[in-house]
Amino acid sequence: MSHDLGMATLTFNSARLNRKLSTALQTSVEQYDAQFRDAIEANVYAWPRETFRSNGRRVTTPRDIVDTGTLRGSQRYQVDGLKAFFVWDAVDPETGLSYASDVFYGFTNGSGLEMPGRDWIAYAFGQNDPVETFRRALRNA
Amino acid sequence: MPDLDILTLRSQITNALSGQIGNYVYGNGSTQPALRIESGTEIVDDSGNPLPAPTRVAGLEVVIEPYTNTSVLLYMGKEGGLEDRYRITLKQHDRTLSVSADFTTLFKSLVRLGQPISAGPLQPRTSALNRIEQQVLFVNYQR
Repeated sequence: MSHDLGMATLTFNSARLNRKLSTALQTSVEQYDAQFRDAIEANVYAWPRETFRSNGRRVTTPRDIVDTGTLRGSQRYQVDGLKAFFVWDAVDPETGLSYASDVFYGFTNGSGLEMPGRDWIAYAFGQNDPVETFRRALRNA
Repeated sequence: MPDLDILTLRSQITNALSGQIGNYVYGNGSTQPALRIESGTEIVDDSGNPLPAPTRVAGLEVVIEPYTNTSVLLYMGKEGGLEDRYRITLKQHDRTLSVSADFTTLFKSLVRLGQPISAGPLQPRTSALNRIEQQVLFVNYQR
């Protein structure tokens, strides 16, 4: 592809550029695959009550998001061209319901009890800015 | 991205959901509109006074939380300001009603503020989790 800029002609190899972008995206996504898991395991999420995990461990605040490990284990990603998607589709075996959005956004129950949201994506992005991560990956692609 | 003070946001929400917001019901039978601003552990009314815990909530409740995603903006290596995010949660305590129509109305109204807006999925009511129906939307702003 080329653009005539009057005196000079700027030529760039769009196929090569796309290859570099794809490589950088793949590198960034692999990095975030690890960082989202680390964020789920981070002991940083506020919780208003003491509770007991399924293994009997007493937890207060701040806490991590790992109880059975199903949510963390459900994490997967897909790279589609220059787009990437992360999915968490853990299902509670007792209810048969997907519960990742309940953990992420929190919810209020019918008794008025608040379950705070725990945004592990924002935490991971706060640790490593996604634009900077991608920029670094692109530089090395 | 412009600044957005919480009173402007609150006013926009109140106007958009006029007549739809439910009530906090207190032990003495008094009620207040079920709209609160919550930051940390302090919950205040429109005038900034601490809001006592209601005995129950009737109908649609609106919770506004400021400062939910603070980040420092850097321009050319220098601090250029703070970016932040309001989290607005609509909760329907009436089991015969849905937040869906009110959420759409609010979303369309807040878009007119010109701020970047995103939304979470509608979290349906479930008896298994004893969860009431609710949905979250986020409004980004610079401060």
